[in-house]
Formats: sequence, structure tokens, C-alpha cells
Amino acid sequence: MKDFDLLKDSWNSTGSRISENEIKKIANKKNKKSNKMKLQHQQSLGAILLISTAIFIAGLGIFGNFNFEYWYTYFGMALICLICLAEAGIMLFTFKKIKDIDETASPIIHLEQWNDYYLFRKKQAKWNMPLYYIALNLAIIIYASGIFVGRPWKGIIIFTVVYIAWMLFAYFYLGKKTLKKEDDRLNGIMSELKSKISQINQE
Amino acid sequence: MEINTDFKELYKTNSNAVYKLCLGYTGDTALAHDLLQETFITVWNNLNKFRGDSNWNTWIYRITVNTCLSYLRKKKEITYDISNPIFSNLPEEINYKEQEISLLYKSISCLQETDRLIIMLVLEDKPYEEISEIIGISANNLRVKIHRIKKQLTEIYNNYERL
Repeated sequence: MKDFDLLKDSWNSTGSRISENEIKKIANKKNKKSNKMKLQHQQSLGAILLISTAIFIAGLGIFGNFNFEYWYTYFGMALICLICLAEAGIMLFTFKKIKDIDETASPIIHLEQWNDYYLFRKKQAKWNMPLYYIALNLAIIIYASGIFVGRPWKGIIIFTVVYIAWMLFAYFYLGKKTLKKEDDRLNGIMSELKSKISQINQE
Repeated sequence: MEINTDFKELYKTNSNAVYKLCLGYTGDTALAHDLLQETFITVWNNLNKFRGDSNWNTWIYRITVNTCLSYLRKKKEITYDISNPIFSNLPEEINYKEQEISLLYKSISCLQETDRLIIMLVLEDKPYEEISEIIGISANNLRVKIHRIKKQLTEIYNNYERL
């Protein structure tokens, strides 16, 4: 039978478990990314790619000399640009939300901040992905309807059928599956965070 | 003093204690290394936020506690790493001591997450006021908690020892 003081002695007899070399190695790795930074990076990279896409499409529309016959072809392109920019805006907002999490705050506040972030992600996943998907596809349909005028019917029908089939499959099967997976993942994370918060609060 | 030198000094002084805390929390040497690294990346990124309200050690311990608590399991339960070569091929007396320590780590890993961190700070001989500042709870609540965790840890350890 050992009492707590003896356990303390054992604990204090444990010496250094990392070598000097390792210390130097890790100390020099301060440019590596923490998990929080990786999450931020995902959002900022996504936003940069979307902004670049919008600029590229806008450039094509303005300087491409395509001379499209119908105004709605340009309208479709403009809509795609706007949707990309709006999505980039949401990503930058998410980036800011992660950035605002304070790792130096007290553990309860810190865990609550992470919990709020995941709650935000959970709500966002429900409306953002479907809305982005539907809006982008509508814009592509408007753009394509201008391009297709005067082309052979057979080709248009094949393209439309394949495109709609893919859209429906992606929305109703892949999309729902991904949303469910994401929802389960976020629920798991939040319940773990809540359990830790209640551990701190309990007497 | 230069920030880079400051940081290296902070790392040298605190890395072993932080590593011990991370090892006790995760029960896994590889994960403990990751958390140690993550803690000091966070320290580096937040150096400008240190206002001097507490001392450097308290501040680093709080970041360690936050890093450990916000680390999410990814469906992998805590497994105590006894494959560590330091536990084998040692003279009997040292080996016995190491086994004792190994058992202590194993017992700590059976506690609730926040309890693990609190008790390790107690084992590190941190004053209660400092622990209460690190964990962010009142000193009275902390005393009650520590009393309960000490009892629980001793029981778990003695149970393991009997096996």
C-alpha cells in the first residue's frame, strides 16, 4: 500500500526524458504549424483559390474577346465570380473565428471558444454547402444556356442529361453522406469538449 | 533581450516539465512529443500576448493545459506506451523504479482528463494558488478536487500494484 506522498517521490524521481538534441530539434521547429494554424491555413488557402478563380473568370469575361451573343452568358460568368467571392468571404470569416480562439485564456474559456467554433461549423455545414452547390450550378446553367444556342441538339441533350444526373447524384447521395459524416464528427468533438468543460466545473 | 534567445531559454527551462505533463495526459510518447511541440509553437505565436500578470512558468503551463485539453482523441483511446526501451534491459533496482513510474503514469491515465492535469501539477509541487490560476477555478473548488483525485489515484495505483 502506497500513500500519495510516496507516489509524489516516485514522480519526482523521473528525470528528463528528452535529450538535449531533441530539445534543440523541437526548439528550431517553431515555424511548424499547430493544429489551430492548420485549420486557419485550410480556410485562407481555400479563400485565396476562390478569389483567384473569380479574378481569372472575370479576366476572361472582360479581356477574352469572346463576343458572346447573349447577355446572360456574361451574366452567368459574373454570377460565378460573385458566388466564388461570397464563398471566399465566408472562408475568411471562418479564418477570423479560428484566429480569435485564445490559447492563453483560462481552460474553460478556451474550450468554450472551440465549442463555439465547432457549433458554428455545424450550423454552417447545414446551409453553406448546399447553398453554394445550388447557386454555383444555377450560374453554370445560365452560362451554358447562352453557349449552347445554335449547337446540335443531340450534344446539348447528352450534356444536359449527364450534367443533371451528376448534379442529382452529387447533391442527394454524396452531399447527404458528407453532411452526415461531418455532422457526426462535429457532434463527437463537441461532446468531448463539453465533457471536459463539465469536468472542470464539477466539484 | 532578443525574442529568439528568450524563446530558446524558455524552452530549455520548461520543456521537460511540459513533456512530463503531456506524457501523463496522453500516455503515449509520440503524442506527448506532438503536444510538446504544439505547446511551444503556441508559446512562440503568443509571446507578444504575455502581459506579466503571472510568471512565465504559469503562463506556459496554462498553454500546455489548453493544448492538452483541446487535443481531440480521433477515436483512439489512451494507450499507455510501455514499449519504451527505457523500461527494459536495466539493472533490477533501476528497473523496479522505472516500473513504479510506469505504473504511476498508467494510473494517471485512468483519471478523467482534467483530473490528470491537476494531479500532475500537484505532483510537480506547484502551489495550489498557481494551479488554481493555471486551471482557472477557485482555490476552494481546487482543494476539494485535489482531495478527491489524490484518493482516486492512490486507489488505482495500489490496485494495479496488487495485480
